[in-house]
Amino acid sequence: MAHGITPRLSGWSAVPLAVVAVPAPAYAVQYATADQVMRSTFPGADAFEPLQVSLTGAELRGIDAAAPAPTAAREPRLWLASSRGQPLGRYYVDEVLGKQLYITYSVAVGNDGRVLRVDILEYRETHGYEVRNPRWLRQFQGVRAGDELEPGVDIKNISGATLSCRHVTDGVHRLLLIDAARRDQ
Amino acid sequence: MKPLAITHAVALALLLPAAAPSLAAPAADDTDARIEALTQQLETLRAEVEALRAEQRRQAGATAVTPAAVAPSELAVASAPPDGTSRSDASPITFTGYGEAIYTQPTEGPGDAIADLQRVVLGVGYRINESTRLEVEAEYEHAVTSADDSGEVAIEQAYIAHQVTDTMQVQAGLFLVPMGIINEVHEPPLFFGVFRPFTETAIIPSTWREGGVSLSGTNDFGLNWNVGLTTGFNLANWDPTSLEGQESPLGSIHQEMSLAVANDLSGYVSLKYVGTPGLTLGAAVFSGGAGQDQKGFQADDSQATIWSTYASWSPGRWNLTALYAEGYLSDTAALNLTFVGNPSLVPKRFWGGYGQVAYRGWSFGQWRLEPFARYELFNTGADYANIGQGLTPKPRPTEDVTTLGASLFLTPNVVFKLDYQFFGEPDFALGYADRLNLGVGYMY
Repeated sequence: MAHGITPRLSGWSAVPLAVVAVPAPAYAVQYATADQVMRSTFPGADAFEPLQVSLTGAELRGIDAAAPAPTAAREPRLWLASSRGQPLGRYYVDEVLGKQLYITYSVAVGNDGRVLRVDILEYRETHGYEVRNPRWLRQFQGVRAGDELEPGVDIKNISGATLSCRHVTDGVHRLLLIDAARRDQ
Repeated sequence: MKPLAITHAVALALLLPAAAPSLAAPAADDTDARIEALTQQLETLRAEVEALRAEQRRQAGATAVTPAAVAPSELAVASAPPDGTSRSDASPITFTGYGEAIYTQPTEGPGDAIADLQRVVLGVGYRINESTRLEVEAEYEHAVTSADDSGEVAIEQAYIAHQVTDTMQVQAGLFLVPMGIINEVHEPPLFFGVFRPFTETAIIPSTWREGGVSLSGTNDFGLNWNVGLTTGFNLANWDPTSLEGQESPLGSIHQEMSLAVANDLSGYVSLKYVGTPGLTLGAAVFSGGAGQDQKGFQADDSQATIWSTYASWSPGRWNLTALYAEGYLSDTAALNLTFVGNPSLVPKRFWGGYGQVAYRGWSFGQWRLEPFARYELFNTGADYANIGQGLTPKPRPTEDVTTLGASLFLTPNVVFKLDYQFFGEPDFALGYADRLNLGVGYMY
């Protein structure tokens, strides 16, 4: 079928083009690496020791029953931050499903078991990237194992990124229980 | 303490350049402090050597893939995940989908009770490279599509998405227009009610997609923006003999990129603020030629414009949502003159809005019950172009619909729905009759 397609640009259609031409401030925003986040969270640390989480199968099953989360690995990666041999806190890196793909995120926990900060290190999907918003992530500050962490209630969702919000919340919940179980050992 | 002495000697040799100024100081009384400092520096070096060795070992024997973002210098050392590693890179292909089956029983008027597999959507994503993805969704409506059945098979989305920077993305192909809430987020567990709100079907013609290119981004402030240049509507497809144009003016003339007439470009700007947890504010405008400059067509200069705005707020367990949308079709008088005597003339203006309250209710084991109430006003023919006394159609009555119901979640991705809808202005031809609705929906 021969279709004479000769698009013409109406005057108003130039508006989106003009918006496109203006560099968005978002250009400057970069993902942090785990290294950067860890160092800025524990600026006084002189050592970051990688550790195995090392929970038993029964312990992990109990945690997964209490706080199910669509995580990629059985256990997260863990570093112990310390200064002159004195522990400052723990830093976890984990992956949790967004909608279809895994989000790499990290949770820094202080000696008191409370969340110092949560960061999105890598986001791979075409939608739902709003979970990287710093104000959304700040909702986790001060939370500790045992606190209510119901997605959408205790940690508010972002419309359009519901699944990513829910799963990151579930992931943090699970990490906090893992952290508490480790310390009880 | 010979070992210590040797260690210090090695440390001195290693660190001499850096430590030289302090070593040159004659203060004998702070020797211990210096030894302490050097010991610490040595420890740091030792850790780094160990780190490098471990990294070499890891690279040599690694079977696991560590995500690039989590491979920071020495910190990745010995951190191989205990039971394998990221699944995120396991397969470039992802499968997604959603679907819903409904039962609706009018309790007023002549309509029949209907059970319908309303839609099954199958999606496939393919990761082309680290920053580029292909997303394709095929939709099957009403179970069977054949010469004798009213089902429909359509490609709902098919686009390439490329991450330009960490916070900006370009898309090309067939994609959803970011207007209102439902058009982009319409998986059954993610909206209340068996049926989508009328405003987001009759006014915003969800699931509404266009072909073209878009650029979208986000920033730390929480403002997401999305601009696009796309195909648009074709008013030449208006059927004055059908009620379809009264059900959804834009829904009856959308082209869905099926040999779409594309003489006119359309474009949109969409903004969404998500910077305050629990609050979402959105606004969008779309406009473009609907006459498509078609020769001999009485409305060749007609322009279709639609805008919408919404707010969603979640205090505690409550969610309050309000949305308004309004659309216009210009230069329709000459076209409507040729339609006089038919049931459906082209409206000049149409609008709708709703307010909704939902409560994130009660859990019973893994089940969760969430009741909701929605009140909606809409008018698909609020105003018509003047074609003379006696010929210009009267505005349609504004319809009001109250929906009361609940969603029962088996999991966050599987929902059973029950609601009852009260229509203020029953119109049996358009299906506006009080009715009981049941539904089951899923997403994955």
